[in-house]
Amino acid sequence: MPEKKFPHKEANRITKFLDLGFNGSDRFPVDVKKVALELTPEFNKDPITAVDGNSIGKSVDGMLVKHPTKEEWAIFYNTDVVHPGRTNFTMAHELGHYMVHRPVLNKTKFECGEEDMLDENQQGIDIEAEANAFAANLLMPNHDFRAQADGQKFSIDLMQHCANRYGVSLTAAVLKWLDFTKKRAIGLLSEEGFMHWSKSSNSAFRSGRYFATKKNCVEIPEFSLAAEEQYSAEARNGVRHGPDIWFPGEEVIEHSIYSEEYGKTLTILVLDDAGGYSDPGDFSEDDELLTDSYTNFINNGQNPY
Amino acid sequence: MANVLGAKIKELRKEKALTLEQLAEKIGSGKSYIWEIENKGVKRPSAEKLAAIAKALDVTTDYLIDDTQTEVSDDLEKEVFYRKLGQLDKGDQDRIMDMIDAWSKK
Repeated sequence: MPEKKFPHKEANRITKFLDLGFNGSDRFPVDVKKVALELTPEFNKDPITAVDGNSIGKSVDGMLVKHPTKEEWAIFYNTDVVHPGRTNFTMAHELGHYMVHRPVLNKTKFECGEEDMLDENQQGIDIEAEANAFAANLLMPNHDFRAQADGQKFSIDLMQHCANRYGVSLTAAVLKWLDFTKKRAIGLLSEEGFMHWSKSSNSAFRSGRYFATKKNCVEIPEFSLAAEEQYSAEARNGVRHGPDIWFPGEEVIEHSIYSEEYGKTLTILVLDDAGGYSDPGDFSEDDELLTDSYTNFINNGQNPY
Repeated sequence: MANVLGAKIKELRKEKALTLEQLAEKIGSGKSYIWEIENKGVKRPSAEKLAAIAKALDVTTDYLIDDTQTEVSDDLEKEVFYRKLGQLDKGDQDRIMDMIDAWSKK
């Protein structure tokens, strides 16, 4: 059984090379195509030899394919997906499968056949979530993200700056910020009054502030800005709500951006540093909630970019 | 796997300018039920509910469930790693196979 590969570690390996090879303005956004074509042959006897876009309808964003006869791989991405940040994330996601899952699952498949691969997934290795973690860390390395965001007050402008710098969507930048921030904060995407997904920062989660969107159909509070489903600069820049709008007895600052194009609202709730409660009994369930927002998204046929 | 049924229901509902509440009321369910069918695609409605939804949207049940999705062929399943393709539009499937073929012959 080959050694289990960790998405963060694999992303960091590439990050170190890129940090050495580039400086200043050339470093970001990461050119995923170039990384795949130029770096994978350096370290692997079965490199990626093609990264090609094509029109493949609405069904898939991208895929990793093995050559039928040669020891080579290809990443194909869908050019019908128009947003560049999303394409970049898709390519990085497929590269994640190559780096993290190819050595492990390929061997398993070789030895035990396809059903075992499925079993392994059912035992809790969520390869889609792992590929997303790889992509987020490759495109937005911790050290650089920290340099951009550390000590700064949350704002959509700050998130937009990060999204532009890394060539990712605003949503991807927000999810990264939630991974990184010490503040209690929650991101969520809603449509017609219900949440598609939600992700809490660690400290928000530990204080019991989260929405269990995977298990339940969670409604948006009636008097929130998200419920209005229209764009306003005021909502974008953040509005402080009194207690009991979002959470009992607790004030929050709500930033909401409604997208006319998608009919969806991206909301970030920033909570004060104290407050909430802690319920250690919930932790195991919640570790899952913390990590699966990307996956929820994908399972719902939407992607976090 | 794409939630074809849900997407269809959402599109028809919006064409008729019905809110979630209005459609839910017509078929005697909660609005979260409709939302989940449209957006999560996890709940397969019962035949009875499906008939009620079809009626409320002025279409046939067949129209709602009939689609051009086909099971992914073994050939494609073999080539593509780590994507649960589930069902794919036949045209998309052919395009993907063509793309893989073209690369394989290089």
